[in-house]
Amino acid sequence: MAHNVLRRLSVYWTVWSTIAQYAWAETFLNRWTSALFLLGKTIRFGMLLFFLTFIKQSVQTFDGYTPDQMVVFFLTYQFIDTSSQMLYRGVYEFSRKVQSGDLDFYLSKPIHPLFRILTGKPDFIDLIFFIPTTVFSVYLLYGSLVSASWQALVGYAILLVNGFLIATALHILILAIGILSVQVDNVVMFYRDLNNMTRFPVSIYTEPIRTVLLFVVPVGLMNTIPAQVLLQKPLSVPYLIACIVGVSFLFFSIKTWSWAIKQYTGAGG
Amino acid sequence: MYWQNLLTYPLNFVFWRLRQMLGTFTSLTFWSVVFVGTGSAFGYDRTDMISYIFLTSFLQSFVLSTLLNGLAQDVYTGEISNTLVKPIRMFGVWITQEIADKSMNLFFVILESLFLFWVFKPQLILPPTPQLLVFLVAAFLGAVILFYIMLLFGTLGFWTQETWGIRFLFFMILDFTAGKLYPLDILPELVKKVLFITPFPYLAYSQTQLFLGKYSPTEVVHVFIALITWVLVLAGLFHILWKRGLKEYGAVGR
Amino acid sequence: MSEAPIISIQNLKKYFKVYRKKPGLLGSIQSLWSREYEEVKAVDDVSFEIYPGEIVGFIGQNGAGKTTTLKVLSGLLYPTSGEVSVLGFNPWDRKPDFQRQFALVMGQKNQLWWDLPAMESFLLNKAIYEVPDAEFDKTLDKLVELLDVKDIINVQVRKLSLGQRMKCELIAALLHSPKVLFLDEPTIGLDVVMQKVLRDFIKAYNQEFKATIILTSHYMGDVKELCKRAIVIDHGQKIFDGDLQDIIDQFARNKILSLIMNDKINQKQLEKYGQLKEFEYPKATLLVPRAKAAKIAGQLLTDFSVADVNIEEPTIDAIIRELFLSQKKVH
Repeated sequence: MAHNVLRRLSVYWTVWSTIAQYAWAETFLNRWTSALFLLGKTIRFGMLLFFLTFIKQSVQTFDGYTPDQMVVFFLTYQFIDTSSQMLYRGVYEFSRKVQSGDLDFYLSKPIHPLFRILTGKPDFIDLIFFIPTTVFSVYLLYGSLVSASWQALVGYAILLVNGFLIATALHILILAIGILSVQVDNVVMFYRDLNNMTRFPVSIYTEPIRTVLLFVVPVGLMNTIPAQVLLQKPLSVPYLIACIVGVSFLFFSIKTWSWAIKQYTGAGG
Repeated sequence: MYWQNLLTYPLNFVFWRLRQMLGTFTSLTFWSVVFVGTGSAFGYDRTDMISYIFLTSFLQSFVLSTLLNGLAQDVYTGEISNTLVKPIRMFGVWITQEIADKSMNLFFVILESLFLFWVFKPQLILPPTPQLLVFLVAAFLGAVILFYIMLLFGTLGFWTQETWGIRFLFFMILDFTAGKLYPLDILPELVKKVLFITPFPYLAYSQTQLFLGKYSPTEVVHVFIALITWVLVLAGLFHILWKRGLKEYGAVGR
Repeated sequence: MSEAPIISIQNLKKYFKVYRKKPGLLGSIQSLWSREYEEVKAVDDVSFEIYPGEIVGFIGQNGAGKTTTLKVLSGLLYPTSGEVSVLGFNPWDRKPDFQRQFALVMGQKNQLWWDLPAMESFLLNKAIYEVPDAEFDKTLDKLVELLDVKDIINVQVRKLSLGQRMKCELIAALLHSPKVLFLDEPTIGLDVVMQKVLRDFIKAYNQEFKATIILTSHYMGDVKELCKRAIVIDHGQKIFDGDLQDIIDQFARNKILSLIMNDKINQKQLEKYGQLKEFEYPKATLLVPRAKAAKIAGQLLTDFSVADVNIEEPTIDAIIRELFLSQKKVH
């Protein structure tokens, strides 16, 4: 049994690394586009960081957080957002895959179609962006990291993983919607805009928006709670509940995907 | 015709508007929270800032356009060549589509604003009529500037297929220079100086300042000179490049 | 046959709901909340069994339900009702053990990476289907030789001709030596020479690897040359299943005589020779029994002054129409 699982894992790894090689080559094939994207991403990152540092002059407290603490929220958001985009860029091409019939081929092959679609196009521009920004983030967060208790650090790490699971679940849900509506672009951009709202702690939003961001599309659990744990601030949602919601959300999204696939194979022509 | 097309894919439009509204909502919340603790920041008080955000979201719906996003691709693949035979009509088509798109967006941004008004209850003072007229003309010129920039991106399609990168970069910068998150003038002097050489401040920022009455009469004249200069420069550039592109087109025989 | 069938379908039905758009702006707005659906019976109560090693041809016009049936067999579509078993599996469970044993080739779609040489796609499929190195090399060599594509597998797919691409598609689908192969319009859009190359290949593959093959096509040529057995589908229903020669004997009993007359004659005179299909002076079309076609043509030439005469085989469409008509009479 264990042997079988290991064998399947190695098959998935071989498939993924084959695909990743091509994506890597493609990044260099279109190097001008890649460079411009990289520049654009850096500007977006830099401008917001700059803005948050800059408002220190005029703003001392922001819903109980200092501008420095706001930076922690932003960098946490940045970390999860970039890492999930980097791995799951394939989602953005899903509409085309459905229209061209690629999905039919994926469905007929002995590799889980969800895996093929989610991870089918790792984004190396994001990787090139991810490494230096993460190093820079750690540098900026150095003070917060050092002053945090070890419990807070472990909690932060666990919640980051939990956040990544939520990001995965949300991408799967986007795909499920994509199957039913044949187009994914709007939904994925909508998700990104909702996610952008959590560059700031969700506690600033009025009800019912806050609840929506925490439990309906749980981007708040994904980004805000880890930062609150690290800063040892009161949590918008208890730690354990964040994890339970995160894991069950992943299960829910996989179930929804299977249901959507059944609809697709039941109706599609 | 165009409205009908949009309604065939109602989801597209609903999502687009929802996304626009989310951006506005985030900024409104952000600044509302800021002004809970402070009376004024960067020379703006709460009313000014909220007005700024409302105005920008209105201007973005009016000035921004994604219609011509596919132009470069159409040019590159040669799909456009059927319509190319009559270049004047082509221009007419672009403009009519643009107007239809803008009217649709305007209609909805007004509905949304009513909703956000009800949530945030801002005080918005309408400026006197002449000032309002000046603002509307400036907004129109801003839309023309962006229209030509989008056409220029399309023209790139004559030479390269890779136009996505540059457009992405453009919208990133636009987001921070004419964006809803904060007004340009809170930025440090040096950054501002550099930005005012580019067309970015003339797409939304200077219009809001006109509306809010932050400019002296001489400054108003300066803004208009800049607006008109940009329109002329970009229009000229577009016509030259488009012509040259067409020649290239014929030469390569695509 | 004593062997157990490798594919069996019992009373398969597959209905689709198709959304009907109303014309005009008003219709578009209305469709926001109320949509009208129409039920299309793509496959309507079809049963058959296929035995290991057979090559079976699916014949039918466009939209007859051929592709839908193949998609159900591949697990891409979930049937409305009926029982389907392929290699002992329910296809729509999409178990990896099942998926490793069949392959699907669609003439109008491609699984190869567009921007890369076909070889890269082969390597990906090798990983997906867990083909061991030695076996991969062996199978690839053999397929490359059979199809004579040594020079093109390292060329970007987008630069290949349609025929070359189809050859590579076939290789990609066959690298894991599937026991069952579904070919959906494999020769569509290809020229006559390339059609023949692919037919020869499919035949050779069937013999060498003992694979079971189902092939859909609306080219009679494909089916005639490859398949001993044919299943004819029309409007989602099976209207014939059996030896291909039987169809031709049974339903293509007639040949078509096209005449261009010099003499002015009337309809009555011609009707004596056969079933008059069309008559518009000076052109006439007669249906005559197969066996007597030559004799009747000769008689016409002696009896009248004929400018031109042509003896034609009825088209596959005509045969199917006839088949379908005869089927209706039985009901």
